[in-house]
Amino acid sequence: MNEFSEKKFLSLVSSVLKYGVISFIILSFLAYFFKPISFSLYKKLLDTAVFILIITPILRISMISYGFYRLNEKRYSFYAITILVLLFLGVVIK
Amino acid sequence: MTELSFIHIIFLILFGVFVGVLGSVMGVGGGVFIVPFLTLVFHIPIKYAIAVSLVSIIATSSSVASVNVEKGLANVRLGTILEIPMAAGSIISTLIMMKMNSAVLQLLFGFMILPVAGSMYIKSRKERKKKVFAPDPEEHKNDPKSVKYFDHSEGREISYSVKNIKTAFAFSFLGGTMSGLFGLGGGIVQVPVMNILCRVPMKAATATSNFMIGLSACASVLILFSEGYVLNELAVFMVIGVVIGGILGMKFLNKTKNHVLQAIFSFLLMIISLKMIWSVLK
Repeated sequence: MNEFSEKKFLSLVSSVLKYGVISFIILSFLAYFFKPISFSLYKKLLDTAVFILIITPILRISMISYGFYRLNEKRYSFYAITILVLLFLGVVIK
Repeated sequence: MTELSFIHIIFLILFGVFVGVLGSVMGVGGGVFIVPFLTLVFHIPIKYAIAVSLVSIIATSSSVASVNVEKGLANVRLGTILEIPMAAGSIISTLIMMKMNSAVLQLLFGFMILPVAGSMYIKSRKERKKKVFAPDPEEHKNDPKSVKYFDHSEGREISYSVKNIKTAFAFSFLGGTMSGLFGLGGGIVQVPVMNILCRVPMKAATATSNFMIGLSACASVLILFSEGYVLNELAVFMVIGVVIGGILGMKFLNKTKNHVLQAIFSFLLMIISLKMIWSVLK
């Protein structure tokens, strides 16, 4: 029996998006807290916060590819992988 | 850019809140306001302003989509198909944008937000008349390929079948182009395409578009980030404001008469557009 339901799949995708934004906000506030103590730490935390936010949609599309694969909808899983390849090509050919 | 002062940070957060509230009330991405604000008020070069705008689009898209995906309102299958041309359009236009002259880009941006203002004005009129595509609840009930979601405001399950995907595929490329070239979400193209062409109900079309624009923004930002166009400090405080504004907008302004606000802000956008054009031509 396939225990990986559509509901679980959507919940996983939703969690990736939610925790991406939450991590970004926590790191941003932490950065601001550390600003008077260490400016280099402040900069590093800000960079990490922005990086996490930027990769959130990439994690989301990776989760979608995995989810559709588990749901046995390989066509959609392939579409999601195509998007990941496009994102990779964009950075490489710039 | 020099380090941001406390006043700058507060100003950025407050403006972000304003943009977030506007976005959730009127269903527009923050780009149409963020790019002119950073360019005209903070005197940030337009390419850097576009990068900040795209980062804020990722944040708003992710936070709103996290709710809509779980509710089943965003059509993940349709979104995944249309994200392919959208990402391609976004990447190609970002590569073009990076090579463009900033003054030409600002001029194009000014001209681009004129139709956005126009469409917002038309939307305000439509909202008054409530003339958008709404499916017949019985029409697709027994269709095995139909998509279903529960509409809490109507208290019933809505079923619909997606049509004309091939044509929508081509239009999505255009949506992605707007994202990469001007730092706009592309929802202005995606929502009407999905609603009118694909026959997706308005709520689902808006939710699906919101789900998609985060990825097209990400496709552009990845390139801009690796080329050093993303001003992290500026982006972080703007985004925090936008996220707070989005939450406030959803919680408190649901009962506001949207068509009045849309009409007011369509005029505001026209003024911003003319100011952007004038600042290049003077």
